[in-house]
Amino acid sequence: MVHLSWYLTVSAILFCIGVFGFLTRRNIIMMLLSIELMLNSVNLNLAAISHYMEDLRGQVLVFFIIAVAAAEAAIGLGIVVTLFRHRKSIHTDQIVSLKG
Amino acid sequence: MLSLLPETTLAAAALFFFFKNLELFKLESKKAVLLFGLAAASASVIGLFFHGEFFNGAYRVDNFSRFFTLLISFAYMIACIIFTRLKECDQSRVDEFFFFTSMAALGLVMAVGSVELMSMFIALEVSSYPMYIITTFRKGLGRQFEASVKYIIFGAVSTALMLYGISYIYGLSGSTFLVDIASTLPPKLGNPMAALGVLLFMGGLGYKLAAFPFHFWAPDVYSGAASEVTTFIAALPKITATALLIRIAHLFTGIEIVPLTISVLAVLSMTAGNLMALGQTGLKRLLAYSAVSHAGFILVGLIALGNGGAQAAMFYASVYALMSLAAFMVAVEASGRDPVDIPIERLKGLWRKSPVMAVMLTIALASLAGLPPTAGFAGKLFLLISAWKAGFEWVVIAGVINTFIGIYYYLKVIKTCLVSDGRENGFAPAPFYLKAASVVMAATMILLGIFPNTLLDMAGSAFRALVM
Repeated sequence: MVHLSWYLTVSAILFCIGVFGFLTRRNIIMMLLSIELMLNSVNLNLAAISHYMEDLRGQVLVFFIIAVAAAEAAIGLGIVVTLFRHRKSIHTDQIVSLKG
Repeated sequence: MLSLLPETTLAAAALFFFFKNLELFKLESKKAVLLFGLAAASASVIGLFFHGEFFNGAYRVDNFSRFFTLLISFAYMIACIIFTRLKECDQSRVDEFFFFTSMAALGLVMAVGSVELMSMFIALEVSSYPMYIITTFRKGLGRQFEASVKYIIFGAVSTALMLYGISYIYGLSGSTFLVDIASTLPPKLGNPMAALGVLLFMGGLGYKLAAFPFHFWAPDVYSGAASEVTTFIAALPKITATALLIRIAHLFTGIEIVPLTISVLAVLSMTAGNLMALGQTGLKRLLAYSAVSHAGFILVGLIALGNGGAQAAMFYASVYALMSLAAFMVAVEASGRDPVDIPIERLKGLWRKSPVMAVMLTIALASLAGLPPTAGFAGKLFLLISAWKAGFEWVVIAGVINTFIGIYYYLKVIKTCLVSDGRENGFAPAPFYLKAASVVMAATMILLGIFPNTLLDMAGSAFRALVM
């Protein structure tokens, strides 16, 4: 059996990749994808811990997170599409009318 | 059944507007929203007397949750009074707007009552999504979509951080129920995973509060969204964030790094908010940065939970919600003609046009600045006293310095609305009930400053319900 710490390490690496991607990318779609990566690292964490402790609550929480992430992506992408219609761009460098 | 009355009322409001949207009812929306606001406030008063546990122990109705339910419901009521004056919001989507605000209020109330991490998370998301959506409900092609994208992206990241924290807390304690966590966690508090977990979790809540490293959305969303929407976003989520932060922080008081980190973030939040607010010319953007600095003050209460900090933070959160609703009530009256933000000059001549509003705004801003005898002064005093007792002298000094910085830009706005003359800024005369509401709010802000004990005692008994 693979030890729990391996899963936690992979999940931490995934999470860090997500944070890094969120901080460096300038395309809103890529930023949303990075967030998705972060959420999936949480899922991996929870599933591994849940299996390791033989407690099902973690896996139930994973289902909730998947559903909630889908809803979040739907709203986020919907707003991004509207933004694109108005601005013809989804690059954060070009969407800077609110600042100061 | 009566113990779930406030939740039921808000759910009924949401359902009503959902079906109203399908044109099933003939009642006028603005009358209905006023009605539901009053109903929610009275239901929350009735709800104070009933306690209970629901959903297999995941949802607890006790003094603590009812105290915050009362605050949220009253804030919802004031917001509903303001919503009758929709000026910047898209009139064709009024019912949707009321549906989403009721839904968000319901989510906030549910989050306060949850004593289980999973239900807390779901309730917070239920409250967040409507707020992401209503941010776009503004007339014309302003900057609302940009504001909403910023709101949702930072919101999603903070959700991910919070969930990562939850996964660590769950891994350490083996349960998502706060009761079980409180009993199994103490021996493991030395584990760095516990500190990381709780700090990440608090980071997610810090986003709701617009505290320092998570405040970047606030100025853009405040100025980009319609003023009515900002009214809602500025007041209600902060109450819930304070409640959940106290709930979580008091479980983890044993970890030394947690109060230390919070104190640093509190000071940074106050300072960054105040310094950025100094140069602002837009009213909503100024209030956004002032919100960041007030988030710092609320965080001060968390570092001294046992020394009266919890009561002080709860007192301050309630007072802050009232102050910001009062300020935004005037902002909504002044709005309607600007592409993005309301310039502060728009308030010129407010004293001539609407003395009641001008006096209320003055009291609200004096209270935000922390001048005696207003409620803001009392709240700041309690917070700083508790921090001093807990041994965080440097936080107290930083807080006092920040109060002085804050006075400058609040007085600038007060001067504009009381002294400066302006003829062309025609404020539409406010209806009677709005004037009455503003008189009541102004009186409450003064009375809470002179007699803070009633509210403070309520907060104290609420906190005792949490500790037991």
